[in-house]
Parts: sequence; structure tokens; C-alpha cells
Amino acid sequence: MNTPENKAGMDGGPVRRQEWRVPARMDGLTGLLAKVEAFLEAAGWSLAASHPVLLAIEELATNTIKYGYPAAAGTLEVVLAVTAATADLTLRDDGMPFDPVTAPPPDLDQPVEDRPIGGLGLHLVRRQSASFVYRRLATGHNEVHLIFHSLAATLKSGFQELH
Amino acid sequence: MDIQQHQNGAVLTLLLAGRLDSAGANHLDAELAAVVRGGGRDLRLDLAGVSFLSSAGIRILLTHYRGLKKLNGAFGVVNSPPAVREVIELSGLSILIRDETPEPVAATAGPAAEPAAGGGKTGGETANVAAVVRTPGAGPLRCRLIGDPGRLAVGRGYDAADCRAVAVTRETLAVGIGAFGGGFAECRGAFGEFLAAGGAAACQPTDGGGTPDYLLASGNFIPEPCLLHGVVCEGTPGMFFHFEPWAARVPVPMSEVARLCLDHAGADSAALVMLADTAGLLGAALKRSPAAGDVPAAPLAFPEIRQWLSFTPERAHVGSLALVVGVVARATAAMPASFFRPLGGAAGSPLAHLHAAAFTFQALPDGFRPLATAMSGLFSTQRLQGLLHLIHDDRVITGGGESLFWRGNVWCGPLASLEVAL
Repeated sequence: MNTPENKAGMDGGPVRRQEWRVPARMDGLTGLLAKVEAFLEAAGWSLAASHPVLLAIEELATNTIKYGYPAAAGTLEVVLAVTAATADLTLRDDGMPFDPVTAPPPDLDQPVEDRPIGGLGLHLVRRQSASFVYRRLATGHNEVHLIFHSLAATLKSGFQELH
Repeated sequence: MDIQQHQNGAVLTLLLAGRLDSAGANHLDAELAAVVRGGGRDLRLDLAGVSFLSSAGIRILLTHYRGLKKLNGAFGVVNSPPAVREVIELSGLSILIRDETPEPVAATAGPAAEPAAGGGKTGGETANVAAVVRTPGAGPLRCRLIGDPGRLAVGRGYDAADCRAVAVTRETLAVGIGAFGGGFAECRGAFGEFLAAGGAAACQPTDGGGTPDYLLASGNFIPEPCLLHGVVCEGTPGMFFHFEPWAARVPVPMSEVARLCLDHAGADSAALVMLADTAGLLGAALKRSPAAGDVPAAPLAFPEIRQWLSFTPERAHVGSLALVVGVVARATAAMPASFFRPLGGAAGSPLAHLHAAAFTFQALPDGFRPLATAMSGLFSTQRLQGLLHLIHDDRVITGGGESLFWRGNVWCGPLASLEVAL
């Protein structure tokens, strides 16, 4: 991570950085999302701008919890570094290898009535992040790195509210 | 998740408050199932109080939409906050949105994604320039053209004589098709997109897994990649400037950066190195080495071209840090057409041969740094994700079919000469 705390960000503002570690269980996820939401709010991120970041954590962590640990229990690690304009999110888990970046996209051209439901979460993450990169670490961890920009979301929501 | 029911004639509205995540979705699923069992057929969800919607929530919306449709009922959502509405739309479920108010005109594109039409702009109209630094004593750059890019299209086989070793010093600025290796035999299967600047050289090998590779000049070590064709300049770019969009949230097209560069260099042609926060790159990259044994007669004709070149169908590497290297020239300059192509679709658009390397994002300092310092810092701290030859793509309408940037640092200098070394 190249964004130590208090270093000036690209917008000239400070970088806020926080790490969380939670057990890879669904009941750990709700509390984690609440903490991340509070952190983003304290960093000045609007609800509209924060939503894609929270969505990415929920979708990727849910996947990992459901499919990454067929036997043993594990730990999820979340690292978030934000400026007023950019959020840099890293998710690590010690579960089975899985690359969410290359997972096949859902077929949204089919009629709603008979469209299969799988794959939608990763599709949303892909569409709402500015960068989405996976690597398997030598330590046996999956690491997903994402970047989000706050301004587009904030402007878009402001524009919609005007109408 | 808090749910309240509100009956208005035949329509039953459920007012939701809270998060529609995995837990909230289970709660809503049970509530809707109970309502339908109780005879509810015309249902609305009022999402004004919903702060979060994930695919788990979408799954429930889809399930009950389908269920009620089978029962000849109706199901829709109203009053979605913008972030929630976006998730519904991206999921392909706009059909569920039942608000009476008309669709916002720019809800899907958004003002941020709509740059001013590229092309016909003059310098300074889409970008503000700051922090201009001139390096005293830096003269113009000497530049030579190696090989012939036109040979890619005709598919003539290459041999050892076509493999030109180019020493990459801190004074070298180059783009082309190249590979790292000790000679033609070692390189022939790997030739791909190449760039070099400030003592750093990067290649996109066409053999193996497609992971880009780089070498840095240090001490006595000087990388000597092999080039099939390329533009190679020697010298120090004497001009530095930083640019930002002139109008808020309107990214700067590549042709505008080229114009700024030519204006600052006061020349008809200039070499440039740019580090920029990208709003999207449009480009192409070789997928197979043109020097490998099995080159067909015309690899860049349809349909073979699909096996040889990968195009970005829409802007790629959004939000990455891009390193762009190459030579730009005014439309009126006499430049060989096989090497230099227009950057935009409009008449008078500058000519260029530019390659871009995309890196993981890093905040860009807006003050001057020597080019070699910036390059060694970039390559040693950020991960190289891919290389592209930047192209103008008239199938991409927004932004004039050009690569777009939010802000950047540019090192540039006029060309003294353009030698052709065939």
C-alpha cells in the first residue's frame, strides 16, 4: 500500500487508512460493513459515493464465506485508504484460490423471467469499480485490489436529485 | 430491516428502512412471501429508506417479480435513492422501477462521463496548465525511425537482420514493437508492444501468460531490448508541465495534451512522456509475435486480425496511472504515415505514435521531478498491468474516440531531426 496515513492524496487532502480483520462468517460481515460505512462517512464520502465500496466488500466477502472455506474457518482482512476523491480497497482471505475478476459475467440480455441469477454480484463490482485486480499471494492468500472514485457517484446522485 | 405496510386501493406498498444486504434480503423475502400468501397481488416496495442494496437484495426483487407475474399480479419499486437505483439498473432490472416522474435525462451517462467533444478544440480549452518548468540547456531531441510498421499488415516474415538492439539509457525515449532477449532467436516468439523513457523499458511479451515485463537502467547496466520497428529519440525533454481539466469533471483528451505539448515546445513535432491519472485508454496490443514462424499472408486483415491484435472495445484501465510515451506532431508536419496517425477524428487533429503502460493507481505529485527519478519511482512502487498502442477509435462516441485523462505531468521537448533508418 503506497498511501501511508497523513500523506497528501491526489486531491491534496489527507489519506485516511484503516484495517479490519474479521472471522470469515456471515455474522461478522454486517458489523464490518457498518464500521466501513462509518469510516467512509468520517472521510467525507457521501452515501452515494460509499455505496459501490460497501457493495464490493459485501459481494466479495459473501462469495468467499460461502465458497472459500469448505472445511476450516478463516479470516477476512480489509484495508481501506481514502482521500476525498479516491478509495483504495484491498481484501485478503486465506480461503481456496478464486479469481473474481475473470469469473464469467451474467447474461443480462435474457428476459427477466428466465434469467439465471448467479454472477450478478461480481458483475456489479466490476461495473462500479475503476480498477479490479486479483492475485494469489505466495502466502496462500487471495488478494483483491479495487479502486473507486467518489466524484462521479456524488455528481450523478446530485444530478438525479435535481430532477 | 424495518418494514411497514401501507394499503392504497388495490396497491399494497411496503415501506422499507435499513440495509437490503444478505440479512435484510432474508427478512424481506419472508415478509413478501407472507403478503403474497395473504392475497397481496399488486405490490410496491418504497425504497426511500434503503441505504444499501446488494445482489442478495436484487435476487429477492427478481424472485418476487417473477412470482407475481405468474400470479397475474404486479411488482415494482419506487423512490429509490440514487445509489440503490444504480444497482437496480446495472442488474438489468430497470423494468422494476415504477416511479411516475420522468427518467432523468443523463442518469446513465452522468455529466462526469461526458467530456467536451474532442477534436476541434484549441489549446487551453479543455485543460489548465500549471507548474511549467524549463530545464536550462536541454536541446531538441534527435529522433530516428527503425524498421517499417507497414510490414505487420503484409505479414512478411522477419529475420535476424530485422532485430535492432536499442540501448535504453536515461536519455532514451522510445516506442515500438520489441522484446527483451539476447538476439533474434530468443526474441522472435515474444515481440510485442514496447516503450522506454527515463532509463526504464517495458514490454508486453506475446508468449506465455501476457504478463508485462520491464528493465531499469542502473549503474553500468543498460537494457538493450530488440526492436522490429519503432521510434527512438535521444536527449532530455526540456519542458515540464502539469495539466488538469479546465472545466470541472471534463477529462482531457490525448489530442489536447499533444497540442499543449507542441505549443509549449514551440515546434511542429515533439517527443513526450506523460504520467497521468487516466479516465480511460483506447488502444490495441499485439497478441502474437509477428516474427514467430507461422505468420499468415495478411495477419491484419479480417478475420485473422482477431488472433493478432486485441482492441479495447471501450476505454480501459480507468482509474489507473498511465505512462504515455511517444512522438506527436501537428497535422501539417511531414511525418511518415506508416508511423504516425491522427489522434482524433476532427480535421487538424495532431499526428502521433504513442504507447501507454497502465500501472496500479498512485497519487500523482503535481510539481516537477526529473524524468529518470519519476520513472524509477514508478516502476519500483507500482505494478505494471499492461501495454497498449493508443489509437483513435471512431466507434467510441464519447470523448471523440480518444484516450482521456484527469490530470497529468508531461515532460516534452521539440524534435531536432527525424532520421529514417530502414
